[in-house]
Parts: sequence; C-alpha cells; structure tokens
Amino acid sequence: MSRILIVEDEIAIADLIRIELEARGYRCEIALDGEAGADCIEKKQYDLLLLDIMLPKIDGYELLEYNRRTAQIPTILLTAKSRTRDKIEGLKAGADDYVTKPFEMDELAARIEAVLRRYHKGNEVQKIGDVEINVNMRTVKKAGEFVLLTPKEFDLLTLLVQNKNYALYRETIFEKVWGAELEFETRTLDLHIQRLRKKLDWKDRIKTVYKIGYMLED
Amino acid sequence: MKFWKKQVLFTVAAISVILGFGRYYIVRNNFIHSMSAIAMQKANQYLLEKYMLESKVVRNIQSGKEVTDETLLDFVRFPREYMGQGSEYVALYTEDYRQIYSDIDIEWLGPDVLRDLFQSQRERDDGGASSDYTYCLLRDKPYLLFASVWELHYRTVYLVNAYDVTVVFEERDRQSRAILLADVVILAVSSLVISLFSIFLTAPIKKLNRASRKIADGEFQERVRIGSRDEIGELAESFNRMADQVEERISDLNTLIKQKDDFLNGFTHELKTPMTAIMGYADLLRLKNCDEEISRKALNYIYSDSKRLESLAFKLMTLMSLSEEEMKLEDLDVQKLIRRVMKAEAELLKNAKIEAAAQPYMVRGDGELLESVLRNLIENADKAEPRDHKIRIRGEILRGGRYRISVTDRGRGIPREHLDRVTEDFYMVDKSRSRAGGGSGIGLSLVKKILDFHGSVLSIQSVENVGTTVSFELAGERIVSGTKTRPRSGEEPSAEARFHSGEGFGAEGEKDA
Repeated sequence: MSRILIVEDEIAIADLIRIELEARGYRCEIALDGEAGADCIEKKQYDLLLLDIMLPKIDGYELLEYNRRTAQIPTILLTAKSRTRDKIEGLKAGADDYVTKPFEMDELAARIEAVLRRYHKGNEVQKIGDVEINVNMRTVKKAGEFVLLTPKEFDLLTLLVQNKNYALYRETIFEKVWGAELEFETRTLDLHIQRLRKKLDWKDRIKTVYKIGYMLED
Repeated sequence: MKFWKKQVLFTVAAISVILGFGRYYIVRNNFIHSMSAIAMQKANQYLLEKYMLESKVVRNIQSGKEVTDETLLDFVRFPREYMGQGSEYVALYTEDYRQIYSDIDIEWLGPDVLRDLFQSQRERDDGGASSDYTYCLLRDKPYLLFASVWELHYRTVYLVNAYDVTVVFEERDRQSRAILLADVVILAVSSLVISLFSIFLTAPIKKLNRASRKIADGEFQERVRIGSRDEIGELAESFNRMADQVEERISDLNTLIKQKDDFLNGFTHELKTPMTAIMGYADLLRLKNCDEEISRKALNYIYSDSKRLESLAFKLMTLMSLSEEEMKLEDLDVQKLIRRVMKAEAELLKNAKIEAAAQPYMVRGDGELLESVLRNLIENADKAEPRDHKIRIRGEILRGGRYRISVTDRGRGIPREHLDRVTEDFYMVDKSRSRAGGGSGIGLSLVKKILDFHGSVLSIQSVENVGTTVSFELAGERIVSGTKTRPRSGEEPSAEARFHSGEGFGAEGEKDA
C-alpha cells in the first residue's frame, strides 16, 4: 500500500483528499504547514508527496527543494496558481506533476497513479478475494485466469473497487462511468452489473443497496 | 552627419557666390579706373603729338616751304621714328574717308565706325580741341583709337592714332587671377573651419538622438547632459524634463499593473480554494452513501466555505462599487451610527461585550460605508479573542473640529512585522485562523479604501498578546440645537451640549437595550 503525505494548509481540502485516497487504498498523512511537512519528510518514508505551494512558515517551493536534496519523494504540486508560468516554474523546480485548484478528485487520483506507476511504486495490482485487477494493463484475473471485460465493464469495476464498502448512488455511478445522465438508460447500468457479477462470480460481493445503488463488499 | 555637411555646403556655396560677386566688382572697378586713367594719359599724348604735327606744318609754311600730302606723310612718320614711344599706329584720312596714309589695318574696322567717330568730332563745339576715342582690337591686341579733325590750310584731314592698352587688360586679368586664388584659399580654409565648427555644434544633437533612442528602447532613466545655455541647451533641458515625466508615468503604470495583478492573484486564490473544497465534498456525497461522521464533516465544510465565498463576494462588490459610484456624503449623528452598529454586531457576536463612549457630534460621511467600516473593525476585534470578551468603542471630539472613532480590544494583537501589511488585499496574519473564521483577508483593505474616500487615515496600534486599538478621524461639526456651528477650541459647551457630552452608553451580548 502506498503512503502519501499531504501538505496543505486548508484543512477542508486536506481532509477531502485523505478521505478519497484512503478509499482508493492509499495510506495518507496530513501536514498543515511547511515546517510540519519538512519534519514528516525528514522522519518518515513516503511513496508520494502532494504539495500545496502557498504554505505558511516554509513555502511549497522551498519544501520542494528540500525534498529534492534529501528524500527525493515523487511530488505532485497542488495549487490555485494556474498561470502557465507558474506551472513551468513548478515543474522546473522538480515536481513530477502539477494540478490546479479546483480539481476533480478523479483527475487527482489518476495523476497520482500515473506518477506512482512511473516510479514503480503504484498499486499496480489490486486484489479482492481471488480477483486480481491490474490497473496498468487493464486486465482482470479470476483465480489466476484472465477474464475478458469490455472497457465499460472494467471502468465500472474500477469504480466499485475504489469505493469498496461504500454504497454508491446509481445516478452518480452512471455519470462517472458513462459520462451522461442516467434518465433514459436505466437498463444499461443494471445489465453491466449483472455481467460483472456473472463473469467474476461475484453475485454475493456486488450487493444491491435498496434505494441507493450498488456496493462492492470486501 | 548629413546636417553638418549641409551646413558646410550651403555656407561655402554662399561665401563663394558672394566672393565671386566681390571679385567681379573689384576687378571691374579697378579696370574701369585704370582704363580711364590710361585714356586720359593717352588723350594728352595724342594732343601733344597733334600739336607737334601742327607746329611743324606752321613752321614749314612760315619758312616758305610748301605743304603737300607727301610732306604731311613725312611729318607724320618722322616723329614717330625719333620719338620712339607714343602711338604705335597712325592714319590720315581725307574728309570723305579716303585713306591718305595708314599703318593700321584699319580697313576692316569699317567706314561706319570711323564715320561715327568723325561725325561726333565735327559736331563738337570746341572745334576739335578735345578728342574722342574708341577701343579696337588690332592683331588681337587691344588699342585705344583717337581721332580728331585737323584743319590744314589746304585741306581738312582726320588724324587717327592708336595706342596699345594691352597692359590694362593684362593687369585686369592678373588681378582677377590673384583674387580668384585668394578666394579659393579662403573657401578651402573656411570650409574646414566651418566643418569643424558645425560638427562641434551638432554634437549635442547627436547626444540627444542617442538618448532618445535609448529611452525608446526602454531605458527610461536615460538623460542628456548638455551644458550650453543656448537653444540646444534649452532643448536638452526640456528633453530631460519630458523624460522625467515619461519615467514617472511608466513607473506609476507599472505599479498599477502590479497592484492589479496582485489583487487578481489573491482574489482567484481566495475564490478557488473554497470552491475546491465545496466541489470535492459535494461530489463525494453524491457518489457514495457515507457514514454519519464523514457526511457531517463534508456538509460542514461545504457550508463554511460557502459562507466564506459569500463574505468575499459581498466585500468585493462593495470594493467595486466604491470606485464607480460617488459616495453620498451627509451629516450623520455619530452616536446613532455607533448605536446601530453595536446592535447589529451584538446579534452576530454572541460572546462579545461591546461598550461605547462617544461624544455627540455630526460627522460627515457615507452612512452605509461608515457602518461597514465599524462593523469590520468590531468583527476583527472579536476575532482577536480578547480574554475579557470586551470591545470598546470611543468617539472623541478633537481640537480643530475633527472627530476620532477608535475600536479597542485586549486580544492577541498584531505582530510588528505584519502591521504595515494588514491593509493589503487578501493579507492575513494567520491564514488558517482567518479562514476558519470565514475571513479572506479583504476586510481591512476595504476599510482603508472607504476611509481614503472620506479623506481619512486608518491608524493601528497593537502589541502582541496585549491588545489592539484601531482608529480613524472624520470631519464634522458640533450639534447646537437646530443650528450647526463649527467648534472653536477652548469654547465652553453650551448648557444643552454639556448634558450629552461625555455620557456613555453600552450594549452587551444578547441583553440589548
């Protein structure tokens, strides 16, 4: 499991990121200012650093420099500064990627995965029961054997896995996977769920939650 | 380079034309003068020769000898042989222009010329005593030709003598050449001198040009150093003054641009940050059915950040309207104003104990905006978390007629290094605490702008962990039952005013009067 350090002075945002990443299977710690961040980097090990630039006490660029000289943890910069030259400055200073606020959580998660993948520190393979999901290769194995899933089935599966043990609302599931509103296509989602259950033999794992939607139990 | 060349060219051309005219007139004058002198000399010589011839004829006749054309010829030839000098050529003509003798190739002169000459002689009153002359060229040399009537006893003849005057012409030409040479030298030397002088004079122009170009390239601090007090020196001074203006304007513009930039940056940051949280948590909630704890947390964040955006939007709208519309300045009862604000804030700040002691006065200002200022200051005082929860408002009349309002708290104070910057847009001394309280750092900058419009200055005194007093002054006048007069220093308050002055009034939390 990858360990991520979140250095962000807005506690609301830091919390949000932590909740979402922990649901996706990462372990997270929060530092609320540059000094605390530097302490964490010095004392503990992390696989990824999420760094805000506008920090009190020690600013983001300084922390980035510090990281570059010592622990060299892969870093993604988070900030409201969205001008091209801020991005260039950030990347030149050594960041691996740059995300501007406001951002969608999905995008941040995808970028985190991409950076970790580059450094071979990612959660490449997720296991639930006897199902192995290789996020990079977009392949699924059941009991050691490859299972063929359509792209939408795979995306649906990924969403369920990332939010395992949470009941997910139907409309939102549909929006996230198919990018459209659910109104006229009620059958599509249900059919896909059925097929997933069948292919992975997960009739008991993928639960229907009354009045809400579906949930993957682990 | 071309201007000085032009100068030299035109000056030298002008000089050479003038010199040319000068040369012409000098030479011509000299020539005429010389020629007159020579003519007069030769005229005398002619007369002398004629007289000698006449004498000879007379002597001959007196001594009984005969005078014929041959003897005449002898006489004419003789003197020349022994006199040597004199006329070079002689001719004798009859009355009807037949040549008796001539050693001049005079035929080609033409009978008309001679006829005119002789004619003018005959018409003279003095009977041939004077003579006329003309010029002619004989064998390419210039000669003065004299002719006169000679009355002999047996006939009348015309005596024509020619005198060589090449000398005069030669002199003229020599003079002309000499002066021309002198002119050339003068021109050469003056070209040189003028060139040098021209270059010297136009050097400042080059300096100006260089400086202009540098400024055009962006070096706005460039200036020109030209010491002379002439027109060019004046131009240089004007130029420098103009450059000063340009530099100042550009620097002002740059400052303005930077200010706008900074403001925009701060603004977008203060906008984007709460938006990120709101969007993120909302998205979370609509995807999954979270447990109670997470749901509550999410909803709280959404709510508080929304309030933050609201407060920011409101303050920004006020800021924007400040610069566009004009303020409504009116006379306000300061006690009423403070009372109104206290009431509103007491509702809002449940824990605060707001007290006020204000002398009665009519202040000049925009009521709504001043309320906004006071509310901001009171809210800031509350955020400083005074241990005794007290916020004191004071209003005092100052010498000179102004009125000072101050808000004091015994809270955490402002560290000295931040004091100068607290009125900057979006500046927060402690970001996390400010944001938690719903602030975005824009309150004091707004207050400052409102006070600027009122011609007032915000004054902040603060000591860390002891307290803070924020105050400002307004113009105003005393309330004197019905009529308003300006207070004079040292004046005793009237009976009615004394009743009000110094009296305090307070409001506490929810127990509002």
